[in-house]
Amino acid sequence: MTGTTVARSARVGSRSVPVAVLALVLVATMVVALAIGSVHLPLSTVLDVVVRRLGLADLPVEPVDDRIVWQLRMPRVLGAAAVGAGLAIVGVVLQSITRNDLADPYLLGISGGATVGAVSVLVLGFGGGLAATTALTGGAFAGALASLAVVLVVAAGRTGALTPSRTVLAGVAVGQVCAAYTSFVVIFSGEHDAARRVLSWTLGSVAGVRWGSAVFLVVVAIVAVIALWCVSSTLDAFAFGEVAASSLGVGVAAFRWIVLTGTALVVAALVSFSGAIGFVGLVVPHVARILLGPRHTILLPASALGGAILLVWADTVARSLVPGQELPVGVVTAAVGAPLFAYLLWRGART
Amino acid sequence: MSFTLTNVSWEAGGRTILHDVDLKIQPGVFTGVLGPNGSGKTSLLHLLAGVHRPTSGELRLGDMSLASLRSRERARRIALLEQHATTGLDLTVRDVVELGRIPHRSRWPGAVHADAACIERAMHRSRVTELADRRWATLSGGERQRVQLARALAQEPEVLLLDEPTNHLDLGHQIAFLRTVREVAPTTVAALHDLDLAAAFCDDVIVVHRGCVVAHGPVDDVLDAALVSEVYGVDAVVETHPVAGRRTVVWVQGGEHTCRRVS
Repeated sequence: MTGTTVARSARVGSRSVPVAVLALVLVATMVVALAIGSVHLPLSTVLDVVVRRLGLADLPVEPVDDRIVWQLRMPRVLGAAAVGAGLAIVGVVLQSITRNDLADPYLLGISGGATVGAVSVLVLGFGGGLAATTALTGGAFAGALASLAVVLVVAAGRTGALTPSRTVLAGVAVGQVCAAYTSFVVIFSGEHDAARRVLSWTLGSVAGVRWGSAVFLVVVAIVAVIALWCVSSTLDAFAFGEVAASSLGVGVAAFRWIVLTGTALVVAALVSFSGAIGFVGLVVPHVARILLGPRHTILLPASALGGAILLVWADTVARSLVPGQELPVGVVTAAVGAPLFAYLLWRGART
Repeated sequence: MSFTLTNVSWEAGGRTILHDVDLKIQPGVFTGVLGPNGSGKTSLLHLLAGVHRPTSGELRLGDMSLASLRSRERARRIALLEQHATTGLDLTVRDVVELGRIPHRSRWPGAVHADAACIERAMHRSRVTELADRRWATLSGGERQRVQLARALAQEPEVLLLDEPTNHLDLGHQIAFLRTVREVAPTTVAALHDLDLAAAFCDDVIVVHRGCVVAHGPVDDVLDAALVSEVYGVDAVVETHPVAGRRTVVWVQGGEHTCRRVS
């Protein structure tokens, strides 16, 4: 009880302190992540490279260090941070407007659709004329958009209203169809390696992120965070359900359409680069809510930063735990996140 | 603020819930909405709150059509207390009351300090100031209703709509709650099940039966044995109580479809 009371009064006293602390932790995490890997670099070297590249000072830097830190690791770290932030913040929003604790960023069938697209490229060789990563990203994005469209049509039906329960069920139905297609293609492809490649795509990775895609991902994540932060009070208004939100002046039907489709597009964009990384979007919002309370002005930035921190660490572990081999980052997020989440639930149930 | 309903009907799921309602609800008056379960009381309140739009007919607030108001503007004029407010979130009482300021806030979520005085005033008026830091989940039914009232008052509405606000409250809390509402609220429209409470607190009553308004007027004119028999299917003695000095309803028998009139 005491622990939570203290956390609570801190929240009331100075609400933006946790966000500032998380921002510092994220910066520190990124610096450390740049130093860790198959080659370990001293933190001072990392800082020298970054300071020189940002044009703050013309420090002497070894070209090989510059290449490792700035060309290889930096885009990956930025990509991980952006994907983590984006998934976490979308998780917060979807849990709030559906009032469903199990809502995650893939609620509208996006992971299934993206996997269908990815499988079509990986196994069936669609988009063969394009560069491999472009085809994969494009295929996943197209698949995600297609499944999103089907989910929206099925959920809205003739009434045009996206009720949360119908939307969740439509997502489940479309997800099942996508899973069936994926399994069918993998089993009947005759390629021994197909199952492994598809599974590892599904579990997610930011290994393929280069500077171009890193910048894109960061822009998507920042736009999403700012846009959703601007509607924090509207999200707060859903605390007591839709009728209450409506009586507080929220145009519930329009808001739900805009937010559901907008966040789905964000997730589709992220997932087409990273694969459907699980757990971040489900768990980070809950942890943030347990620690900082349910008000969106704090919850949204805190979750974004928390998701970024978690995914940067998870990716760092994924690329350095087993020498010479990459673990799927989704395995790490689940392995790290689940016990932490379970602990917080247990602590919450005790008080 | 007055409400004027002209030929208002509302359909949902292919069923007509309210038929051709014509009403004028006077400003500054405590109006009770009476009627059996499923008669359309909640639907009527939701139409007045702007949560639902009438399928046909016109609903005016003052001299404006309610449909023409932007939803935030509407929420600054009309506050609704739902029958059963629930949340899974770990909110404090102050958090809940602050929700009432949402329609008054600018879109940019920064500057909210000007709201603090209004929130304190709303909590004071509905007597929840001492509960401010308590968690919603730890409150009793009566406390929750008072907190929702404070949230509604924080909206600074011209009209307060209450949907069976005294359900789940004991007698003392029922009276205390409605007394507080009478003290603080401007124009009030409240759906009520308890006819004695309606007689004690309402100026006017509207009686809804099978989706139609069957009576509307001062409570002492409308509430009588014939009405109770027709609408609720219950034989009752309705008389002015010698000690309390107001209408009381004592049921004699009923609950079946055929009832014997007692005069």
